[in-house]
Amino acid sequence: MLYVVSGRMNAEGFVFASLLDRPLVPVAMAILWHLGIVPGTLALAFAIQDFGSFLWTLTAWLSEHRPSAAAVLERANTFSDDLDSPSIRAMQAIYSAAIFEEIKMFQVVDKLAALFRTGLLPLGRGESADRLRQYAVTAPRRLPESERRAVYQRTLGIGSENGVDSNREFNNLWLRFLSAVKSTAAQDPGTSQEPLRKAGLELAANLSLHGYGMAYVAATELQSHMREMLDLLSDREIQSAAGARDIWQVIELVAARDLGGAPNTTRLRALQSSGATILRWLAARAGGLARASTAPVLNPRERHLTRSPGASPAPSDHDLVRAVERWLAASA
Amino acid sequence: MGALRDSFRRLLRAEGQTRSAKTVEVFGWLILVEGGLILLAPHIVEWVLDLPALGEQGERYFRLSACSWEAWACCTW
Repeated sequence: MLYVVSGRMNAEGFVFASLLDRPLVPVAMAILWHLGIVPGTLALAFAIQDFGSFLWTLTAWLSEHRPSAAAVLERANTFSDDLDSPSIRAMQAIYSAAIFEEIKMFQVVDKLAALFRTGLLPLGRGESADRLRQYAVTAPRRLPESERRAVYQRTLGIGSENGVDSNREFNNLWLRFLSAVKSTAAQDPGTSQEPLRKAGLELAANLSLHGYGMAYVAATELQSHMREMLDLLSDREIQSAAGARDIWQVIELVAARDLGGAPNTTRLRALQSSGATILRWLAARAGGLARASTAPVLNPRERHLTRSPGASPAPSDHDLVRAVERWLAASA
Repeated sequence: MGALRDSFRRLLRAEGQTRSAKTVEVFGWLILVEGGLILLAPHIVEWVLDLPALGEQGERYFRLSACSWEAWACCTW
């Protein structure tokens, strides 16, 4: 009875507890059989039943907690998965979420869940349907659109710049830093890079200030929300139910059909990926920029950095210069 | 009352049930049916599993173990 009720009520803790409990049954049965308390056939039946069902639950549990290969690849190309360097990395997640908002990714996934609920999205009773249902059920736990937009405004000044607590300085500091990177990359080696150091330092200070406290909490929530959306949109069954072949086509089709027009995903993706690269570079170098040094800030020929195992790769100076060029081209 | 009603609604509709939770539910139904069978018809189980003859006292203990097996399987250890 407890198993039935806990299973139907989706009790995550009980599922995990039963994963610890059921593998012990064969051991207990072996002992009882060895002591002559339980007949061999009965002990074997209970052992097979419990261990078999344990393996079934374990397989399902692992598949739920393992993102698809396509989603992992897409994530790696879009936003960093860790927030180790708190404030600036938090801003990178918020920046990605703001662009995904422009892409209408949040609205498209909500629309897919609504279509599925009303039976207008042709999905069977498989894993994809379960994931979409789960996404819809847990929707109240996520930040609503109004709060997300308030976060973008407070931290990056995106949206209404006239808000009381809007980060109005961000846009100017961002453009000044990009311009400094571009001009430093074009100048002769040996020329002073002080303007770049100053622009980078001011931008990093602004991001640190606005990526602190609640912004960090919001970034963590947005990061997990984006992860869930990318997992769903990478699902082949959902893609084919929407009549698309990849994530971006799903967004374009649903947005064009149900959300008043398709976004320019190519341009916005370029802004997102290049912007995220620039912020990752800044997060990795902010400490160095703050220290007074005569060493050059930027070496555009530097292509590789040493990477610590498990950490997100920090972009090289060459990556930064290319990202700045892509961002400026996409925003033109 | 609202929370109780909401819990019963979740129990009836199994909204948002994950695959792993579904496997736990199926296992629950399995041991429920199994326990019921041992309780109501111990001789069928005796015959299926080729157990030694139970006898009157053995049968009672077997029925009792059906109840305790379910309790054990539910809250084990």
